Amino acid sequence: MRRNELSEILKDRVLILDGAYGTELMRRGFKESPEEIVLSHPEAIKKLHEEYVNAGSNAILTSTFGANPIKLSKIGLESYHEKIVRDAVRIAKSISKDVLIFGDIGPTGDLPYPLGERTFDEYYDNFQKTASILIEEGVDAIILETFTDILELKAAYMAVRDISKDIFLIAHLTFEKNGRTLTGTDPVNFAITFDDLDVDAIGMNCSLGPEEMLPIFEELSKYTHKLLTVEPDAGAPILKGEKVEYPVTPEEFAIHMDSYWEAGANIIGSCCGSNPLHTRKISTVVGKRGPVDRESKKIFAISGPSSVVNFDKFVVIGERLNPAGKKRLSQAIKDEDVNYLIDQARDQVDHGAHALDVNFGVEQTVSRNFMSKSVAALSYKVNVPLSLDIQTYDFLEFVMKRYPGRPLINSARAVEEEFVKRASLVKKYGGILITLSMGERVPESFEERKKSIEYALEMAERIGLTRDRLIFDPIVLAIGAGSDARETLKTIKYLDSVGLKSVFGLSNISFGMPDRSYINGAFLAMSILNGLSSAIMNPIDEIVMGNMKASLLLTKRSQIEIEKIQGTDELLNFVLTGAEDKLMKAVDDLISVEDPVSIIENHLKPVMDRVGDLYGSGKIFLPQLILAAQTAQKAFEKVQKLIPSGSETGKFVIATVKGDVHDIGKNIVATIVKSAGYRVIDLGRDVPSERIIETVEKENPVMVGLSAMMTTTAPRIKEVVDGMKKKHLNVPVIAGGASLNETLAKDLGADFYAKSATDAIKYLKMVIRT
Amino acid sequence: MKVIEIPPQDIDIPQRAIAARMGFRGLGEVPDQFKPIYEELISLLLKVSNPRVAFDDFVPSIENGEISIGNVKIIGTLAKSQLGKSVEITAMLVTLGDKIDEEIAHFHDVGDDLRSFMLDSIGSEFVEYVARKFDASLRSKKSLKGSARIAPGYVDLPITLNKWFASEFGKAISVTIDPDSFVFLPRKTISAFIGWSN
Repeated sequence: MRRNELSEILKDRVLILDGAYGTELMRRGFKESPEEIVLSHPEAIKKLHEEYVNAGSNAILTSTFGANPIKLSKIGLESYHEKIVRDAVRIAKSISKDVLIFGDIGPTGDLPYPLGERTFDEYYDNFQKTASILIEEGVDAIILETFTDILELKAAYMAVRDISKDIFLIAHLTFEKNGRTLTGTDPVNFAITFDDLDVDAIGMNCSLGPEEMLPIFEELSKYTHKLLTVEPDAGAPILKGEKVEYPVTPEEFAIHMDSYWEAGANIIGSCCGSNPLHTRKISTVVGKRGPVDRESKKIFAISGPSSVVNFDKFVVIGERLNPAGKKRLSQAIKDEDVNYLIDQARDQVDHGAHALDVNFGVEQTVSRNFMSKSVAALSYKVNVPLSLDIQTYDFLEFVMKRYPGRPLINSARAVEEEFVKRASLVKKYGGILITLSMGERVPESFEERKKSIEYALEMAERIGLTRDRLIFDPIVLAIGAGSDARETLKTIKYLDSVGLKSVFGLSNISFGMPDRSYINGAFLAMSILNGLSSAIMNPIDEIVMGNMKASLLLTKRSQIEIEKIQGTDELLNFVLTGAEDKLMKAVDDLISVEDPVSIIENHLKPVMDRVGDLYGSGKIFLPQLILAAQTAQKAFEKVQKLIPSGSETGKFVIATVKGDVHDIGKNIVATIVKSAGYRVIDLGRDVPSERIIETVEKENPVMVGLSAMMTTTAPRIKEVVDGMKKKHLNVPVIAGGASLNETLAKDLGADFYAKSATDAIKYLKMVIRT
Repeated sequence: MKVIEIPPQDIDIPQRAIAARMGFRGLGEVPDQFKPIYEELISLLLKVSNPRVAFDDFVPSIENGEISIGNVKIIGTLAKSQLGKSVEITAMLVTLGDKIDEEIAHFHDVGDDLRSFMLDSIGSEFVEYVARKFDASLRSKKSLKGSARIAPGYVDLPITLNKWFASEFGKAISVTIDPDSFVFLPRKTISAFIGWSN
């Protein structure tokens, strides 16, 4: 089957893939690997294929998971490599039913340099040997399964794709319970790295049962634009005597299939511990369904094997791995001293670099193998993405092919030949291209830069590279040479206004000048104000970094971090854990030494303010907020009884509007407002507008809270607001509920919109202050 | 029309789903601090809920892209994409009964909004899983290809269709509807269509 034919089928339906071979054959009494069984007992493999097909599999895997030369050499079967692969495909094809045959390729089991000894090229050659036979034998697709390292997977991908552009190709990583692969890649990283590559589907298999794998799969689904495949294990293996058992029964397994389908799975199978009964259940639940439409997020990010840097926040790219003017670094490159490079890299990361620019100086004196080795060592050992500042085209291609993630490529001018060549590399190997806003000559004005940007966008479109694969350098020129920095600032502002990201080499601005840090710092601040996305700069320069932090704060592009939950605040701990008895005892102790108003103002309210902050910053969850409010409320009630009447903080009237019977949200808000010391008049749910207005007239509250869950009941808010206006009741209204948003709440006449449970408190305080 | 009862004990629901509904996003389970309450409320739910499904199969008429069953028009892009090729449409109304509503209200009345909120979350997820179980059983019996299960109020499928669900199936499983808001009572009630095509 051709690649596009399988893609067409998957537009129409979900495919069912088979289940485990290794564990199932073992359960059936075989002690050898499936590859050995291909040679010794082909009938057993064939029988299992048939059972999977009879159970509902639309596609079966060839028994070639471990049939690559490196892995076979570990069991002495290297010389049988070709026979095993050819026989395995032929066995799969020999079954009588009409079924798709997926050629299976698993990893070598060896980690790449510097975590292990394997090189990209060894992986590549190894996988190409298996892939070429699978394709010759006519498999319908190739699936790269159970890979635990993104570089090994990329090598396998390149090996297959370099043989055939017409084979449907699936790439899988295997994730641990912590949501990362063995070498640290998370699903977001996998998605952005492989979305750039020419694979048809990506997914995951093995190591986790369906329940544990689901959130990781959902995360992948959120970010990838490829088709999705999944094969969970039948749970984690349990050793019973000498037997290994997998605990998830077919029925339990099937429960989760709806969720995988909802998350967008296009091909669903099962992995270790499963058998044809699992397949039958999977097929029953999702086997006749079409795929769901999903809308995935696009993020502008680069990555290394275990790090993703998103350009939504300002990105500092360390500039110091560049031998220009650095004797020691030049010597280290000459000596091929990778450890020195790693030390320099770590120093920059410790000082705040999010990514690192790597430049090898005079490239003719450096071997491409050393470049690639350094890039691998930096990627795996320093854990930040890299910007590959390599000028020689062949060297750049060599390193890009072997880069374990999604790099920045530094850089190309908007000159036809140069841009198209480098952009084509980015298209083939993945990454984001730094595009200089200049043509053949150095630009003086903003207008010249703008023309180059527009020309680069036009060229990118022509070769099919989307604009989110480009980041523009507005060109920083030395002011010491008479250039006008304001033209660069105009370019940054323009790029920001048209939604394009920007990056520049900061230090150029002060070249040849005294007090370079001050000039760099001031120019960076101005650039941030104009919308600069990132800079290649010196993170060790405290003046520059200080300016950057201050500028980001002033332009609201970063936040002061909220303090962590302190274990020392006794009252806070009591309310967060719902320790009502301990809280009441503490309040009793306070009552004996302080007046009630002071207890509320100086102890209870600050505690609830902290709880609100913790919830607002995502450090505690909604049930913890409710528990804290419920617990604190009792303490407030106790203390408030001791305060003479007439000195209450204020009244808050709350109701769910007429026609709406959903009152959970309203109840939570009422509890939280009570816990902050306000008197709450809760009118309940399905409350007629007239009753709400009458209550406001009678009680004269500080604010009115209205809740509407349904789009059909939201207009009642306007009815209440209009009714209050008619009676000249000038009381602010806060509205909330699932059907509302800020604009709609304001359109309905509300003064405030409550997005979360604690917003009512925030606005109550504001109203009281004014 | 047919009505079936599904014993609540037969509904398998992953804790992860309930944890997410309660707002414990990204944790994958209910934290230890809340587990005793969670377990207590699951036991209560199994005791008081009475999951029932009323459903029927209809042969739609589809003219110029407009889908109708009987005299009801099913409009919108969601309906078109999921039901547009159907030769048969199953409509279903699923409820947990009114006792769970009473328990949720009772917890609120006695000032225990935490339990009220948690039981509400469990109930919302539970009724969804009842629908899933029923959905899966339908798919295993039908030889046709099933669409996604789509519900009024989602995307652009009008919530006003709930009125039709209530009139068609409500009496059989004691479900009523607020005529203005189209909210079902008991509250843990949901409606859906599945389209079946060749």
